[in-house]
Amino acid sequence: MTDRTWNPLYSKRVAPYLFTAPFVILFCTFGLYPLLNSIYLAFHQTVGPKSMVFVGLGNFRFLLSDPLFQTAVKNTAIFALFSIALQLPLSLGLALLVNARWLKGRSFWRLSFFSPRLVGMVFVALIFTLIFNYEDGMLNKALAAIGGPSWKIRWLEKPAFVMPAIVITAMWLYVGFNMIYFLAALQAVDQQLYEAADVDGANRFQKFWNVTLPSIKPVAVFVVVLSTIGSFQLFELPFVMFQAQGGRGPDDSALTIVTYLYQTGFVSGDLGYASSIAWVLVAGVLVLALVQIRLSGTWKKEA
Amino acid sequence: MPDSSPSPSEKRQSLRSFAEYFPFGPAPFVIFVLTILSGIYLLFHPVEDVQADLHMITFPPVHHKAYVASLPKFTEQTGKTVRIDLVHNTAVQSRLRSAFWADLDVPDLVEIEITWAGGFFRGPIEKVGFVDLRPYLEKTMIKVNGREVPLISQFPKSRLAPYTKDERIFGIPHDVHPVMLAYRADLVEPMLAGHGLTVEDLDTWEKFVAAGRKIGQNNPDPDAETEHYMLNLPRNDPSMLEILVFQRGGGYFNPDGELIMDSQIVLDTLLWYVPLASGRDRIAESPSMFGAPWVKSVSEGKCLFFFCPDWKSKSTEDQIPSMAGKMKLMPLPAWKPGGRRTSTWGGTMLGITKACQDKDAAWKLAQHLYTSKESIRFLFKKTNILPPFKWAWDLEVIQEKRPYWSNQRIGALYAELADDVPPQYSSPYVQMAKTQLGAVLTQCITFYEANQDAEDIEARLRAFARKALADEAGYVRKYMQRSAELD
Repeated sequence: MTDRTWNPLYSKRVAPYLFTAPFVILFCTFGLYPLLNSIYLAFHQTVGPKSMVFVGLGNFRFLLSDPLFQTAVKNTAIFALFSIALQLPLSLGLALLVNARWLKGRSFWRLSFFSPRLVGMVFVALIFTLIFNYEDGMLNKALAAIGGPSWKIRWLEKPAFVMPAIVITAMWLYVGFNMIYFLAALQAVDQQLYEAADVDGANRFQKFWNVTLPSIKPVAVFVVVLSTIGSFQLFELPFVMFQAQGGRGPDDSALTIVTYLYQTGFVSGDLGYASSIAWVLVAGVLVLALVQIRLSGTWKKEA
Repeated sequence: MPDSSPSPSEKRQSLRSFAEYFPFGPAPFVIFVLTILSGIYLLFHPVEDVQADLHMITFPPVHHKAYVASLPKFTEQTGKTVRIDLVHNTAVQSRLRSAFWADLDVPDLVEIEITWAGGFFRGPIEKVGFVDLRPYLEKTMIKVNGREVPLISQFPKSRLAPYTKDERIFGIPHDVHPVMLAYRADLVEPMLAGHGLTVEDLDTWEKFVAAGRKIGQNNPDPDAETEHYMLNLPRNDPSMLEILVFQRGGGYFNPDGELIMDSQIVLDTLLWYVPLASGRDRIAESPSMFGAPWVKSVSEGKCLFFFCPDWKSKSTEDQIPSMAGKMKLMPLPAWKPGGRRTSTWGGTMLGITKACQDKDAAWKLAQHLYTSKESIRFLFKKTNILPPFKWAWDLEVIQEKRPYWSNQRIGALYAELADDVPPQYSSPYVQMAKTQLGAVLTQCITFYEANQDAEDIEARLRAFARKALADEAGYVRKYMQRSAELD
């Protein structure tokens, strides 16, 4: 019989550390260290490849009066608002649809609605750049066919249409993805609750409002928080769709916080200012997520 | 005789017991096996790491192709081996910046696009990551017309300016990039003839616009499609506006590094540009200057003329081969009779980094790639890019007739204009100023389209544009002020 206790490999105390060590080492090197370094950088002004001076809260003060940062915050907030207000009801609607027993080929529809998420975001952005093209884009061709050439819209050229174009693109990408969360939640709803509601004479809407929604609330809160965080991280879509303007769009109409962070850090080379933008973004997203969770009452329920 | 080897089920059983014996059971065992297997695979399939005496990075694929082809001769002459990597323009900026920051993996030589170059000259001059090439340029002598002259004298001054800071030259120019107008000769010449005009008559922008109003089939009905537009003028990208501003002697910065993007020249050019690019009476369309929309606009004759620096003439040949024999080039119309007939668009510098261990060898490579006749011939054939050295402009390859361009000697045409190319002055904030100018352009176009029917639109547009320029320039100045101490 083999004695397993003598070898540290066999020790239940040591083995977990050995297994997690690769992740911990990589995370500390490429995650934690840059994270801590960015706090240090946020209080410095960096110019060029080698110059850095301590400026205290100078970067944050400049940030507060920076009109471009304000534009970036406004654009990102608008995108987040529309993402949540349009995407989530649509995702829930689709989930209800593909969960319905009467729908034929449910697996096919589920896969179809989810499949946009399987396409790379850069690829999607390029495709939609062609779809939104003023002269030959599919969307304008359709609009012109309905209402004549005057119906054509300069989606990617007029600032007013830029954010709608990005929201539409993001919807195509994410509605099916969020649908999967809602679908999983719907399938987990206790069927006995519906049976009880039937006994009480509840109609379809009442069952949806009083049974379905409360049952999927934790998932809905999770999706809202995730979508908010994702929206505030918006970068790839505008960056690729508005390459000619460095991802900022006409008159900065596509400028998001992360695009501005990228521009500041990697185009202007001001890593200190970029770090301060990053930490303001982290703080903002954290506050928003906490507010959303608080308003939804999830904590109270768990407590 | 009975078979003594274990049966498949016995084998599975023994593997299972071994996996179970492993700490925490079969799952970590599988992870462990995968780790070992993938480690062995990587060990025997390492990423190819070409060791060389010099390491260079470039971003245009045609440069890369041309340089790689000319390397064997350099190695033969000097005994030095060279590795040249092709990296996307955007990645060059971020990777080089990170490399300088970390003092890690800094290449010996690197090519940088003109609008990004200034960003690498930020901060105290002694901390700039590039070697000052002035001593090399002054020391190196070349033979021109039988006389030895310093290499520095052979560059048009306008081309050294973007790469110079405090008299130090951090990059040598790869090009001059004079700009001409390319046009669909098969369409334009008959159209102009119909009005008793020839292309030669369009020697000022005033005459060009007047001709555009005649041959562009504008229709006041918003539902009608205009078949031809005179010019390709983007509505958001300020690159064409910038060409026109340079042509008039303006720019983003003056030689002293002061911001001049809100100067009278920029304002006047903007006021000229906006009504031509937008609104009902426009003579220009903006199908983009690149990719499929641009190809379509040229091949369908939607935009009859477009701005065409030497490098763009090659893209036109490569991307729209069906237009062979139908295209021609003409100098830009001047702003006033007898004025400058060209401008500039784009540019590339080659710099030697301070991290380079063998700077003399790097300089020899720079000379080989940029000044050797073989290299110039090869590169011109592959790119149509006019070299920045005057002595090279007489080379046969540059004087050749080009069938694609209706047998025009396009190299000679560009060379005739090269001496008159306006200067662009270096600043770390050029990219920022350009972005803000793009924002002004969009704002003005939006304003003009919303108010084009107003009687006093000209005055209102002037006031609006002046304020927009002042606001955006104010932002750039504020940002510059913030960094002034470190610059």
